[in-house]
Parts: sequence; structure tokens; C-alpha cells
Amino acid sequence: MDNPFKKILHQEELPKMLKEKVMNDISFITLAIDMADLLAIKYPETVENLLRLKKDKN
Amino acid sequence: MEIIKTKDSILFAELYDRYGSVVYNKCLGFAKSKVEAEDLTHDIFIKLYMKLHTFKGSSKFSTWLYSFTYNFCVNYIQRNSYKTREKVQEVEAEDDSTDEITENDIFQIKTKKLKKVFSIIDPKDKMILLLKYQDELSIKELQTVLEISESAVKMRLKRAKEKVMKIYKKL
Repeated sequence: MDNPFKKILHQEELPKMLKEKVMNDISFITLAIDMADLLAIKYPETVENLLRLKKDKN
Repeated sequence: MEIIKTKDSILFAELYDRYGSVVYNKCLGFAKSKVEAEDLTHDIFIKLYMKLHTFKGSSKFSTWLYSFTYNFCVNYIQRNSYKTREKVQEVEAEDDSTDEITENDIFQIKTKKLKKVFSIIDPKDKMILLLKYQDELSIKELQTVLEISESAVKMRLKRAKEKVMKIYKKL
């Protein structure tokens, strides 16, 4: 017996420009996450370590 | 899958090439227009990028992705047509038959009528029926992707089939 559920599946072609839009947004998200990581975690950690080094020297 | 650990955008582009078309065509089944389906596909892939780490490998990736796609579409529809859904549920609650509906009964429905039924039915019921009869997931796979027990899967399928038949008979 034919399965009508298989027949209702669309067979349209995926618009090509959509990939560019998705990948651009992915790049932006990755950049935003990396920047947040740099400014909120890595940069303060570096400053803290520098200050600790100075304190140890004194 | 390497991409889950690395979140490499080149690997993600490959993932898009492989599944983009399937996701888009599944979205067309829920959206009112091609533009809406494009927006849904875009948003699904963005969310997928952020949520890739939640794939634990307990099912095939494609199975997990289909469920992810349907869930996104169902949430989107429920957000946008809350009032319509309420009305449909009220109609469905009126008739409470207990006859078991077989696969054969469901497969008797013509494609055109099934499309019409699916435009009316609760999207959650549509989702479980598509996973079962379009993507051919087993009860065990449905258990895994829906994170519910075997009896709950069977009950949801039974209720969804009953709702389809009720709406179909009223068409």
C-alpha cells in the first residue's frame, strides 16, 4: 500500500543564497563568543597574573 | 562527530550541504510560504550550531536532526497560532472513540486530504506521525528522540492517529 506520508514530503531545491546567510551568521556568532571569552575571561586572567607577578617581585 | 568538539565552521558548512535540503523541505511542510520555510531553515541551523553539543549519539544524527527540526517548527507554529490551536483541541475533545486505528486505515487517506488534515491538526501530533510514517522511526527511536517511555510513545501515536481520522471524517 502507498504511504501518503512519503508523498506529502516537499521536493523543492534549497535556495543557494541561504547558505551564505547561515554561514555569515555562524561566523558572527563565533566571533562574538571569542570576543566575549577574550574580554571577560582571558584578558582579566592575564591582568590578574601580571599583577600577581609584580606583587611577588616586590 | 568531530564538529561537536571543534565547532569548526568548515565542517558545519559540510553539515549544511548534507542536510540543508532535507531540513528546508521538512520546514516547507510546516510553513505557509517558501520565505517562511527559508527563515525557519536559517534559524534551525543557527540553533543547531549552538546546540550541537547536546547530541549524545544515542540515536543516528539524522534522526536527532529531524526531531530537532520538527521541535523547532512545532514551537514556531504554537507561538504564532495559539488561538487557532485552542479551537482545534476543543473540537477534538468532543468525540472520544476508543477504536484502534491501524496503519492501513491511515494509509488509505489520499495525499491531498492528508495535507488538509495536517494543516488543521495539532503540530505536536503531526510531528510524531511524520517521525513514525515519513522518517520511519521505530518505537525505540521515538522513545530516544522524544525522551518519553515506550507506553507514552504508543499512547501519543494512538491519540494522534485518532485525531487524524476524526478530522479526516469531518472533511
